[in-house]
Amino acid sequence: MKQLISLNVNGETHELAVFPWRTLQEVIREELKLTGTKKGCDTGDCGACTVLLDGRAVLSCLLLAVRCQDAEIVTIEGLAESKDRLHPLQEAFVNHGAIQCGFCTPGVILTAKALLDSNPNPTKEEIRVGISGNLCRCTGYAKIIEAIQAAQSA
Amino acid sequence: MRRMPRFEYHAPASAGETASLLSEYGDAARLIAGGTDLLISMKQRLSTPEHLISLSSVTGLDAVDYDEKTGLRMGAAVTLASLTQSPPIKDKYPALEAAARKVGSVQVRNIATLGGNLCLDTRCWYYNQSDYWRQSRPPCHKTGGEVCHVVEGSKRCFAVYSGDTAPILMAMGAEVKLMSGGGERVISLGELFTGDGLRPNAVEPHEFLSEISVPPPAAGSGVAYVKLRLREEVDFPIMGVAARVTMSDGAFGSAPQGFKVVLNAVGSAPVEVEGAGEMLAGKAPEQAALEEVAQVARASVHPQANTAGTPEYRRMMVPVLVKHALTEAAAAASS
Ligand SMILES: Cc1cc2nc3c(=O)[nH]c(=O)nc-3n(C[C@H](O)[C@H](O)[C@H](O)COP(=O)(O)OP(=O)(O)OC[C@H]3O[C@@H](n4cnc5c(N)ncnc54)[C@H](O)[C@@H]3O)c2cc1C
Ligand code: SF4
Ligand code: FES
Ligand code: FES
Repeated sequence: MKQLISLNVNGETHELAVFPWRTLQEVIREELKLTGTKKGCDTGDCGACTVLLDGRAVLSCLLLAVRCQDAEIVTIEGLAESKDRLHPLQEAFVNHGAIQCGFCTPGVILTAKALLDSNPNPTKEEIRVGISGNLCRCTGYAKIIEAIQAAQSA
Repeated sequence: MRRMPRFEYHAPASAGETASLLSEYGDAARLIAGGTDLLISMKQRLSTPEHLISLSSVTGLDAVDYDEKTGLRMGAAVTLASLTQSPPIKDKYPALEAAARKVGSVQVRNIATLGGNLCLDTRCWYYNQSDYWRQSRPPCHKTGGEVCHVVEGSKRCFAVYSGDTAPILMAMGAEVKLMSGGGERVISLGELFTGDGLRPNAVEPHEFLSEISVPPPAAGSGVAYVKLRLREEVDFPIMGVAARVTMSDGAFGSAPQGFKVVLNAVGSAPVEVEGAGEMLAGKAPEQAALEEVAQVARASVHPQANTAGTPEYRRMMVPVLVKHALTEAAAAASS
């Protein structure tokens, strides 16, 4: 049976009727049509589905949507300050060539956002450990780390 | 794309309500805490419960308290991330903080709970696979069949327990509280593990793990957990060793009870190395003393070809890791 839930995503509250077995990722992509949140492995290994839940990076493929009521959810669509102004992390990823196919990018950026919010000046090692739950198959990690370092000093 | 199977969802607000839901639905229900393990096994159709009882809204189940006399008490639903940030744990139980940090990735630890880590299902290459993958072979013992794909002809299952917080908690003498409609029982953490690959823990269908308690750290004691894995982050252990030692005047203390060595991910339960205390008590903390325990540990395990790392490699690494863990624990005790 569907349950009525209200989900706060990117500052907007959505009243939704969802089956309890729907993951947060499915609801974000298929109900809210916010397709910036990617589905990679669906089993917790790749980090492509990362979103922020009350400021913490979490895997939306391993969370039931019904459990996420009362939380503030941020997806990659909610990060830019306005339509024509990217978030400093997004800016840095573009400028440092830290994006190739872009499939991992929303997840990596949100993980980096949570990292910088809790630790504004991470060391390179802390960045490496911090993003170790996000796999990138094309860019490699060097440019991603450079971009995060650039955003932290921006 | 892996869709979830259907189920009815319950989010009880109290321990009492949880217990009555469990007694109402029994075997048809499963508990879900963080869900970082259970949801995967549901997507893979390894588990298809009709009812899911969530622990995430149960009041007080995520509390952490420390008292100098009685020690540490942690609610089963505390997340591993909160454990690593909790002041009494960082201060009094740094090895527990370090072990919790060795579980999965940042994202996993933000949701995964301590109770779920202790009640983690055992793992095997032939088990933790999609239903499609598994169709290529007859079902094994753990999926309701009558064969084992790892040990030919075996009547039992050798799936591996690989929760990373259990060994260090066992080394520190932790106890767990199991609650049900009929009341509660407290058992040592070691007794929680059955050693049976099919049903790795002793939580009955009408029970849930509510609290984990650890005695206050004894004077002169030190603990450490060493984990071997393919990548330094994210991966499950290939194997792990937790050690607890007691030091006095630069030598190992004289009471055998002050020592514990627990081996992880080499069998269906974390296991203590028998006689470690007797072999170490009163000795100088040098290689010779550690070597004896390391060799006994090596002889006591029989890893199978069902997780990363060949059985030969894992067995060879047992003495190496035992010595590392003892050395680290001795250093922690002296500092
Ligand atoms: C990418 C990835 C990497 C991982 N790496 C590691 C690792 O390195 N080390 C490691 O140890 N684990 C690892 N895990 C497994 C898992 O994330 C952790 O073990 C986690 O702590 C499980 O906790 P949970 O709350 O998510 O459990 P859940 O998935 O909610 O539950 C796990 C099991 O425990 C039962 N359960 C949960 N809580 C209770 C309770 N209070 N009482 C009784 N039964 C209960 C559930 O019914 C279920 O059977 C990894 C997982 C992923 C996805
Ligand atoms: S050890 Fe054997 S019985 Fe157990 S899960 Fe693996 S293949 Fe199945
Ligand atoms: S899709 Fe969620 S971790 Fe890969
Ligand atoms: S840019 Fe393609 S996966 Fe990272």
